[in-house]
Amino acid sequence: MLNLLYIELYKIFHQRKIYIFYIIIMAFSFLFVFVTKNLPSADGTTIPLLLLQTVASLIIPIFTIIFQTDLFISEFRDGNMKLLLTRPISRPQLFFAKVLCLLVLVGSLYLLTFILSYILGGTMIGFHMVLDNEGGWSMFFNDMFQTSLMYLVSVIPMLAFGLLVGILAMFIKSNGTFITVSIIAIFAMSIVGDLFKKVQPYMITTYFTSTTKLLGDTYPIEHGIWLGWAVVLSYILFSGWLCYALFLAKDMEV
Amino acid sequence: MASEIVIQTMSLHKRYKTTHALNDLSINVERGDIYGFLGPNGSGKTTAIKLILGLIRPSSGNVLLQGENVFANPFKALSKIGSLVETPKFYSYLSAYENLMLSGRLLGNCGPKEIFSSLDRVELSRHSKQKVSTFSLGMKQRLGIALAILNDPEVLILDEPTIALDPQGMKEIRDLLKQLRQEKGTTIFISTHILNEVEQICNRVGILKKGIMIYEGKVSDTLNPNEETVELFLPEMDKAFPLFSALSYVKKVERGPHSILVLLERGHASEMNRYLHQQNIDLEYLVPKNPSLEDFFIEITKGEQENA
Repeated sequence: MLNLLYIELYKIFHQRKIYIFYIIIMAFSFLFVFVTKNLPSADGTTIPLLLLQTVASLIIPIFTIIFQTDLFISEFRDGNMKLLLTRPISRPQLFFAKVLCLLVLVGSLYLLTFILSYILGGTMIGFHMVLDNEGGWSMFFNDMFQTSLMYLVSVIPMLAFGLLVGILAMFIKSNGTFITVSIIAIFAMSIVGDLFKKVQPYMITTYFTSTTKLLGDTYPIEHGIWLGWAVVLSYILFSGWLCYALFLAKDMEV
Repeated sequence: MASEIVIQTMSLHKRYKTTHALNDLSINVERGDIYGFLGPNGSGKTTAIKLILGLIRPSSGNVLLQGENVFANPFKALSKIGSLVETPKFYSYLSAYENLMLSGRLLGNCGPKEIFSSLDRVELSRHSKQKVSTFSLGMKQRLGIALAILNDPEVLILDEPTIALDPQGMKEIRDLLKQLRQEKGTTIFISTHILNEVEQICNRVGILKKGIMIYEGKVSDTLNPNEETVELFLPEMDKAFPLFSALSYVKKVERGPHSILVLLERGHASEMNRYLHQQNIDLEYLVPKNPSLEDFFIEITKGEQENA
């Protein structure tokens, strides 16, 4: 399994795409902090959460879709999957390695955003809101811990989304069509969620930016978050299972 | 000692919607065989190979590789198998070495030494650092073979391994396969369109037509040792043609536009020549036609033109 994960990551990190994604996130983070630094409420400690909401709403979902094209569609289409499947491995192993790889890649995007937000927020604005108070450093680290928790939790709905579009990847042969359909799915779920408040908690897109629905408004965790977790975990289990079953049954014709 | 069957397909059936790609396919390849898998285009050879390797699922039937079910236990079934299916597809943005290295990680005991040895055998070691995207089709084919032999497999399954190679390259691959068979006792299952190739290296052959195995047996059995064919060039074909019916050792006579083709019991050609001379028939040329697998193949597949 670790060998397969290594192989999947090796392939991704030997393409330019992943580095372009990192550069885009870096550039976007810099611009974001540059634009917001003159706002009266701007502070280095609020930047990470604001940036998280912005990148998690569209940039990371799109990158997640593109990762899925590399992990599944391109390999089905180009016949590369055969290279691995004719070796002594099982399909479940390969599937889980690809899901783990997706998790690592998405996680790396969040980690980069987190680190950048603190570096840029601190150097371009400063952490005056907490450090100027008594016990400032203690407050700063407490705040940083809560923020890191939000970043960590944000990875989970993105994995659920990755698995959801993974189902499409088992049917669609063209990268372009897959990306278009998946982006339409993001917008459709967001619009439906905005228009019909009752169904909003059941849309996975709701949890891209609303980590409070998973962590609660205050720390420690409140009881009202269980619906959020139930929805996100249901997406992971259902999409994951369907994606897995389709992957196992798929004929490697090319 | 009973021979061990290392590739066994049991009543394999593959259906695509309304098309039956394979029907009741049963193959038995014994350890040490070099088995030629033949068939006209579209007869289902590649589908069969994909099924054997577990890349596609059968509609019914089963595949055992070295006694292990390839669908239920691919880890064990594929552990000593090297394969090449169609034109190999590599990660084109990686080098030849990297492609083999990644695949080798799944095999164990495949370090740089094994990788370079494998590349050496197909004469690609000096291109090891070159990206596969810059490779010609022939080089990719060689790399595919290097990949297949990377783990010194006990069984090699090759789908048209010499396609896209020049004659020199074809010969080198043929020699390599013969060498693997001789030195390591590798069992080789090879699908090809080049019948001459099968005749040269294979001991057993299976012929597929429209998804059905129509012949399986020894290559030597297809080259009938008791009969021979001669082509006769005669100025008086009309006069000569009826005379052959009087000869008991003549099995079949076919009249072509410029010659007469005679199938007769081996060793009677000179006798037939004397007989024609006695009948005042002038013979311009007598050309012996050695029986070949190609003749057998064309005969058995009813002369489908699209084959080799």
